[in-house]
Amino acid sequence: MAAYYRRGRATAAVTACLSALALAGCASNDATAPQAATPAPADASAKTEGGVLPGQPDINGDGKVVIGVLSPGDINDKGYYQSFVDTAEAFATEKGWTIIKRGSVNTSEALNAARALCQQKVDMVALGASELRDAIPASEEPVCANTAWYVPSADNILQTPKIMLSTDQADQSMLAAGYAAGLIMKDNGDTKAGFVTGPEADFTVTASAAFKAGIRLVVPEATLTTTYSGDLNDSAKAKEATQAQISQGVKVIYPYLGGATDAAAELANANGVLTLTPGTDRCDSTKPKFDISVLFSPGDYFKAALEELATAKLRMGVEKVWTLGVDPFPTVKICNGTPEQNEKLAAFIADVGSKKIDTKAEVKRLGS
Amino acid sequence: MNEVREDLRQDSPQRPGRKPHPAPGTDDTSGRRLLAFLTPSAGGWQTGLATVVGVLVALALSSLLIAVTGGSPLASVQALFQGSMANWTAWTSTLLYAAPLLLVAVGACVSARSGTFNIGQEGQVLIGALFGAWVGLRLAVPGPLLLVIVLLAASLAGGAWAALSSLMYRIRGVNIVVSTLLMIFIAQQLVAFAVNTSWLLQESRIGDAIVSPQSNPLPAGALLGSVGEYPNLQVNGGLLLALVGAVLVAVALARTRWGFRLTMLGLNPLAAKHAGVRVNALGGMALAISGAFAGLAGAVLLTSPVGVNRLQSGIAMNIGWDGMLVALVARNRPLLTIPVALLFGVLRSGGGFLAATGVPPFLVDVVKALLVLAFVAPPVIVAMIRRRRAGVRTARAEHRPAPVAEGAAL
Repeated sequence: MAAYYRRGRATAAVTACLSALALAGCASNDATAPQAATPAPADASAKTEGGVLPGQPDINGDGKVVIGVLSPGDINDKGYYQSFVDTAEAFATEKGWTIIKRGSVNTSEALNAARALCQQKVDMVALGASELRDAIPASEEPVCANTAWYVPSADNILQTPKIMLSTDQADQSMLAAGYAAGLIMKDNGDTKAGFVTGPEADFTVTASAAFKAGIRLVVPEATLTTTYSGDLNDSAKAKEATQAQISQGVKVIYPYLGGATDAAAELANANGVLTLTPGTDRCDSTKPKFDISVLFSPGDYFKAALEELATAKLRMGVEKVWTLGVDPFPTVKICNGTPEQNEKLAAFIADVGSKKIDTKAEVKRLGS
Repeated sequence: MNEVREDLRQDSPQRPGRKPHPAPGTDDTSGRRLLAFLTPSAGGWQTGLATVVGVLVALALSSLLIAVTGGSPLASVQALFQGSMANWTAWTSTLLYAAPLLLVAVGACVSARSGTFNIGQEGQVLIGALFGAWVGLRLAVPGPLLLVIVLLAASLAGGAWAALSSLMYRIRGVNIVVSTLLMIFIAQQLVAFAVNTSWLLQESRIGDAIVSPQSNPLPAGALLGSVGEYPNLQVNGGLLLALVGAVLVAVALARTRWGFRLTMLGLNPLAAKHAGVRVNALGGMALAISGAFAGLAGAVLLTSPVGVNRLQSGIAMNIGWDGMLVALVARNRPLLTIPVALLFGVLRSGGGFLAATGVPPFLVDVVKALLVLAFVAPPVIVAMIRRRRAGVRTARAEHRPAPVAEGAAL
């Protein structure tokens, strides 16, 4: 009997503790959010830290230049992630530098992967995409003291004196991609488009909305079917999603994918459906064939940073913002466009660059 | 008194239409057979010799694979060494990986001792991290107390998640090996949902920025501290937790009545039942303890510098699977898991350096698998050869004509 009482009291105590914990759970999610990103000063060299690191390109002074590249994706995807590594390799080969590249880095392992690069005495740690931003704290650690950092940004990364941020606005290039697709659809009398991508994450949802808004700028009655296959690199799932969209009668498909891009594009080609590239210029490709190249390749952005490193002008603590219609990248081109289509697209891109077109407002208005 | 009451409960008539299922370990023959297959008895000098040969073959195959993929085996070994043991920084990285591996392995030893094969540690790690993150990000509790609550919450959640498999077996007879395995996929979906849902655990949006499928970083008060500072040797609290856990479990299994009962249950559940062991409770508890250790490993991944102190879909980093392999290589002996976990930590932290040699990092996983096979396969093969020889001898003896006494025919 006494044992029953003891058990009852223990149960009551556990319940009370759990209730107290539940009641104490008053912190909101936003209470633990990092502080808003601080804009970089116009003159970064005025800061006590950051600025131009001495000794570039051999920043750590060990007699050789080593660039360490970390990518969260498949570095053989013939697209977005590969372009970053290819650019670095081509540039390094030209300059006689060494490249250490590591693909498919789990975001949870980003920090340790960056530390490993620093231990290998790299002069620059380059992150292939903003997903690996959790590696940035390593830039503050002594092991990475003499290392430059290149980080692609997506607005939610805190600027620090130890890193260089490279930013583009995804809605600009995706809106222009949709606009280019809309021009072709209008001339062909089509109204159905498709968007095949991987996980239903914020970046894919936003990209889909901007693409839809771009099409509707030209074809207001157009519809966009979006399929989330769950994996940017799974070719079987991508083909299944593409086939389903083709069966629904879409005439343009945007395979917004990684390693699965070519499989989806080939299937679209076989069914006479137009396709767009997710990041790189592949107008010359014949298998698969692409009709519109959407250029927002991280490799193109990275090349500019490498050129600055080679000429000892790379600054830390600054953010480079790439703007459509202002910088060479991002941009969009129709592979075999008519003069009229090319002219309209060029005018649209120029209007985005001159801020005549508010891309965010257009996406909000037409992308839902 | 309790044991008598348990016996009476088992003998009492069951409700019509409901078939009772025995305790985990008593009738789960597939799991028991699998476990026995993977952790056979030592087997003497032949097994030792076969293990040495197996390891050499594994290393030779690994070298061959590295050479085939365009790398240099020597350079790869050097890279593994530099990344894991060459200096204090490398050792720090190795120890950080070894801690969660050790926790999972120690838990696996407990369930294996009871004859229950828990292969769902990867999911239990995820659930531990999920609940740890929720508690760490939502409770307005100061400093070290928050860390303690995070660790406790993760352990409880991992334990409860594993106990569900025990419950499913008890109520509906669902095979424990299968259910613990399938529960991993549910855990993965739950974590993915949590980090993709803004009102649950997805990180806060700053301005118009695109948010990633991950939580906000845990507050400083919820992080495990370290002795020493990176890049010099840093011994994290997670490693101390894991070591204490391993020693406690080893002592409990070897020196306590609970450990004796658990061992008895693992060796012969029917005998244990007849000896008065509460097999249902004990088997279920062993599985829950195994899950609790895995959940604690999830908390260590979340709160120590081995990860990024956020909940992410990939936070488990296959630590659950590797931890189970550590236990298998250590033949489910808690103290032996310490050096084996260290070895696996070496392979993990050294794997990061392989990129410099041009060898794909996933080859480290192949090397690990070969090493596990080298340790697990020899005793099985030796036992099979012995059984076959014994069978041949028995057959020969049966076919040999019976000796006839002289003059018997007369």
